[in-house]
Amino acid sequence: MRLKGEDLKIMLLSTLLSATPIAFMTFDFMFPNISFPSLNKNLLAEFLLSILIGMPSGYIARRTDVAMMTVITYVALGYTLAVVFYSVPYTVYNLHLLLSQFYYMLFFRITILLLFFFVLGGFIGTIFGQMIRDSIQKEETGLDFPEDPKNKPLTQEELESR
Amino acid sequence: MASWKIFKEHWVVISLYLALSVFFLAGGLWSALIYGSVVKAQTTVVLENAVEGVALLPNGSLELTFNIDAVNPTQFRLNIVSLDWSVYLTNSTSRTEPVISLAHVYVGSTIGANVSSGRTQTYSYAAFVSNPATLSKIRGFLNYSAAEGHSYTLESAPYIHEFRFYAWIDDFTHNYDTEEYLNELVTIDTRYITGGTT
Repeated sequence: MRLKGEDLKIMLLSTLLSATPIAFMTFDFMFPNISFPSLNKNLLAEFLLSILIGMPSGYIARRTDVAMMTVITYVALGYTLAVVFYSVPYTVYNLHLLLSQFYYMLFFRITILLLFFFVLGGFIGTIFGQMIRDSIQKEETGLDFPEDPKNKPLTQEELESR
Repeated sequence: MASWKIFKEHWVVISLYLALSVFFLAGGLWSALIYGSVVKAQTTVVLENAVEGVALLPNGSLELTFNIDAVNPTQFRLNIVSLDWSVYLTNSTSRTEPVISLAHVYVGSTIGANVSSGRTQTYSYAAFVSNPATLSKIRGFLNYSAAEGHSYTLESAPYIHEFRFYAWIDDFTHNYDTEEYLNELVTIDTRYITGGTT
């Protein structure tokens, strides 16, 4: 997979657009009682939202492999951001963390399932995004090049008269 | 230049998703700060100014009193689940009854009490020990202590007061049966025992 400068820019843009919802959903899944607005651990809602979040990478990127790679990068960045949110009591509020391995292992154990949903939903979202882009392009092409009456297919009567 | 071209080409989608992204970023930061405040509340809610009292009444009964302040400096209301006060004497030389229980008051969540944000709530208790059997156990302890060189009286015996303050932080509802880690997150469980808090 060879990436050009424009591909990297598209990846970066799509990653920045889609990473924060992933971070929020992950954190919300960990603490549905204190986060707002909460999805209350509704996996169907998480999955549908991850499809929606995957759409811009498929819509903006022309290459499918770039779109797929973008899904991986924004899920990774979003999950990392969620870990940063999870660390707030010990970074912002200066509390002392005991047994950090267990603390982060708990987060990983509870939210690991979501990574699968985010990646799968993201891939499906890119497909939808590409379909929408192709549909819009087809529509635009149709408007730019209206049908020429001369090139219209002949009707049965016209054929018979000839 | 290429970036501008990308934006110009897809400005509607990019603007919509940018708004969505900012919304979720704001929600994430807000939630993370609330989470930090909740975790910090577990260390800032304290029990202070405990006053233990004992008095011998003219009818020979013993009056035990206890006052303590629950200080809530946090931004959250504390919904009390239970308050538990007990007084006892430890008699480590007795194999059959190492603890002489004198008073025990338990108040459950049905009282619907709470400690408002930034407030201090004082809890006062009093109990009377008039049962001859219990008083006789205390006197037995005092006699044994005297034989060991301690000059305790009914009023100066080393009574131990224990107080447990158990509350939920605000109204962060969740599934209390399956999400046990969230129970711990929103729980304030602090205790006072004669000599200090835990």
